[in-house]
Amino acid sequence: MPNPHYDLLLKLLLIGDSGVGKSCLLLRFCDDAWTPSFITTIGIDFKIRTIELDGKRIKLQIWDTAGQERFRTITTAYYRGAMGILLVFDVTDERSFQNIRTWHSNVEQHASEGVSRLLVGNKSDWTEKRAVSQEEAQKLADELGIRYVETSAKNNDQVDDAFVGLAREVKQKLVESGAINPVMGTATNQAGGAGGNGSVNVSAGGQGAKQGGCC
Amino acid sequence: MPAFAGLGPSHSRRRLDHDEAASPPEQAQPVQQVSNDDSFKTAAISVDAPHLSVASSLPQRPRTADPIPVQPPHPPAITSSGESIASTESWTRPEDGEGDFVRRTYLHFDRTGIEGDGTVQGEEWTRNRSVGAASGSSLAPWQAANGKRHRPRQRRTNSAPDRRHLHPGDEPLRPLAGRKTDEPAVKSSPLASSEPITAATTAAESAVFEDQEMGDAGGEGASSIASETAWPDLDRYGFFGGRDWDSHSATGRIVVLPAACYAFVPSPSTSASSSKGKVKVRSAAKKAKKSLKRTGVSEQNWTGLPASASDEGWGSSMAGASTASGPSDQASPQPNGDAKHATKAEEPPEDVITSLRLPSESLGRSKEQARIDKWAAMLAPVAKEGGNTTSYRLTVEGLRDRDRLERRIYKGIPDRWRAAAWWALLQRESGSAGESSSASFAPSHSTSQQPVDASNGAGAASSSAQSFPSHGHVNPSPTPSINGAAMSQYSRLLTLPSPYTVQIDLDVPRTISNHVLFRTRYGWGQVRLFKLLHAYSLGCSECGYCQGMGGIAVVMVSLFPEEEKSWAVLRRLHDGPTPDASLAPSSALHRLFSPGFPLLLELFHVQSALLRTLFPSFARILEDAGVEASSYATRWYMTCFYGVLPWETCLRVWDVLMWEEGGHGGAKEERGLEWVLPLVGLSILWAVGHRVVTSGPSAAAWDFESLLSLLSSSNLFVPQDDDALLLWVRGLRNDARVRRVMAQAVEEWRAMQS
Repeated sequence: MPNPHYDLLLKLLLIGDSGVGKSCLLLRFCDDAWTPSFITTIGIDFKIRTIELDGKRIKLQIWDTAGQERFRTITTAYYRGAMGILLVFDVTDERSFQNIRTWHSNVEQHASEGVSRLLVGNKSDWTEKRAVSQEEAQKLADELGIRYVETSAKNNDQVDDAFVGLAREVKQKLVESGAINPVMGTATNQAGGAGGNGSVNVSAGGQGAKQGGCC
Repeated sequence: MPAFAGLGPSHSRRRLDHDEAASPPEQAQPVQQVSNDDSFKTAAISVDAPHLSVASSLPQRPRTADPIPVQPPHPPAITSSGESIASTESWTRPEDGEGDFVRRTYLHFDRTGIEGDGTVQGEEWTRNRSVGAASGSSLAPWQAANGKRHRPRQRRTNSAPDRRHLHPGDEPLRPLAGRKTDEPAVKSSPLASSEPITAATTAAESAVFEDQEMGDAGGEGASSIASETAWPDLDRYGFFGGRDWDSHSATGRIVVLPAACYAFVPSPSTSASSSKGKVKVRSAAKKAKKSLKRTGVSEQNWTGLPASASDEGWGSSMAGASTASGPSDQASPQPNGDAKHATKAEEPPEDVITSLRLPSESLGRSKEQARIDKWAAMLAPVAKEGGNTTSYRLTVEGLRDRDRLERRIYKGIPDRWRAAAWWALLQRESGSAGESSSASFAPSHSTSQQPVDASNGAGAASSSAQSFPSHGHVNPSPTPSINGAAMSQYSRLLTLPSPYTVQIDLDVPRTISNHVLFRTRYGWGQVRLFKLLHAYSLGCSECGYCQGMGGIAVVMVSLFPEEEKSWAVLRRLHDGPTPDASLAPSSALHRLFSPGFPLLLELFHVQSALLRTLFPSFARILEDAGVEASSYATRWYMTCFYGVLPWETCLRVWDVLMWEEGGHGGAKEERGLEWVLPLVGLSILWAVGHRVVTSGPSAAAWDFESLLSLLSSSNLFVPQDDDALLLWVRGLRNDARVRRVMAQAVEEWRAMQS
């Protein structure tokens, strides 16, 4: 990213069961790479990518989380600062799909109100192992009132659509709510231009997470 | 089937142990049968099984209760059926059958071994969910083709998973360079397997698992390509081509920690918040910068490389290296910028880590033989009962001078002696509380340099060397052979189902790859890792399994090829030196992994206190940008820097951690790995911080993203000189004022929590 300048900063978050491919999606989107020898995400990780949207430079700050439930003490502290959340499951893993509801209620509990959400079914290339049909997933997405995208991080299928689509949605909401000027001459602090400032407070442990949930 | 049956009734167990001599027969649990497969029948488990004491001596919360009620988003209690209760959340969990299938698969390959272990990728079985126990078949897929044959011999069929479709987590291992259709195979693995590999395979036969005794590869294409297949280059630690970078941190970047930064060891008195302190720090930074120039390290290669797979591949970044030399163009901090670094252009990309380090001569590698000799003089063999396994203990000569021993630890235990020394260091801690470190160093044992028969604890005079691992025993004396006790507990735990089995299976292949021991799916190393983590997940009911344990277990598996030793060391680290059956273990590892991560949060607090005191300018920059320790340092501490520092450096950190955990590090209230981990974390921040604060007028340009990209938990931090880093850590560790800052931070934190 040679040019550090950007017009808008958006913060996205990836959540979902362990092993559904969150880190792979992120690696594909940010580095356009695929590696079979990746490592378990422990706690939280972070990548950035700047995209062009309607002629504006949008910097995406994307947080990747550990899927193991126990790490939610750490990760839920990051929900609150997120402007868009990708709920990821594995289309070959029924269980990860069933758990989406719980992840979603986590979002309701800890994230900011009105946060944009997207349901992502990853590993769509693995057709003969598919356990969750597109219709099923779409039905759940409709029920939750969110969009559904099927991706393959491995084949680079619809990965950009997922992230960029969500970014577009977030931006649209910001414009609608008047948080940013539709012309977007400059970044506005209200939209989170100041980076991660103040959005995360894990050092207070459980209390911090609790606060994040109720305020 | 109750997941924790056999571990549950520990209260009554403990009471019995303490109050009554015998267990009434009605306390006995019924025999549990885990599977129908007769090869995997579980042992009968009764509550008075003598070796279940590790688990049962831990305090058991009522099963239906919340483990940590004060932590809001904590993992719900896991019940016997694998469902959560006492929680409003409804997680769908793996069924018992699924975990059972996973465990049977690993145990199967533990028995049979895998052909070509260490070179082939192997086939994925356990994540192939549609087969396995859930399907209702009593036969595992690797057995299905062979009916009821005792040992499986399966050929790939059309229904078997196609490798092409394996997925993240399913195909964790990077294919060998140049491998297309042929699976390289070898006659035998020098490191990987204790079991001989008898036959080679061809592409057509790559999925054939052959029993050793079957001998032939059983087929048309079974010509011997073994003879044609050379072993890929392995570094001294067993990584292919020395590229542990690949396996550790494939999605991150390399950040170089220049040796010059560690020339100056800060101290609270010199760098307190006074203006004088600031000057000191700044001048230290200047000094560091100067010597950086002197050593020819350009600013650019602080952060050299993007991920291997990023836009600029290794090739182009290496090509760029030849043009980028000299400390020019250092004005703008661009952590995401060019992948230039000043390594010599002729270096092959495989050696990128090595190339970032100082030449080995200057690191004292030539002194390795001398150090080996010194350690040989400090360790004496301890005969083991009925076998040729030999442990070592520290000799009186080795213990004569604590400072000298400490210095030698921080300089790095020679690879050859490392495992023996770790074992000996852990054994040194007395089982009796209150022994000071000086006392533990007094040559009080009359055993002199004569070997002690550790297996005969009753007869051995000295208590301190014999108490290991005492937590495994309700009755601390006499201490049975560690071998027998640890081993029987270990194998017993392996017969029990764990609610974490599926998660462990998910993490095993993605903990380490590109290492000869761990490369092959269900190969020697993966099986060991699985077994160790499985046992660990049952050893402490409060901690269970937690991601991050793998990074610690993988070190133990690599260092201790004997299963019982890796298990015993892990247990000893988890349970602490002075176990009290009536108390929860308070060891660092326990507090690190138990729900809510109490130690992790404490370490964050200590780390930031240290940074504020010793490097206030950088602390302020991080604070102003809103960079939180949890954003980057979670992996650092949860894995004890596995995958954060290069393997070699990680082992050296473990040298010190073992020293600390053995109780030698400091006064008794100030020892344990929690006294070193934050200092190692600080050493990374110290070097990275100097990069930031010395970037001149553009220092202000460091925003949240650029700072966090530099510190990202998926980055690999490569010290130019391990010695410099470790001695820097030692300098801080031995500074009473630094310890006071740490102690104060701990106290502060605990007060805030209560």
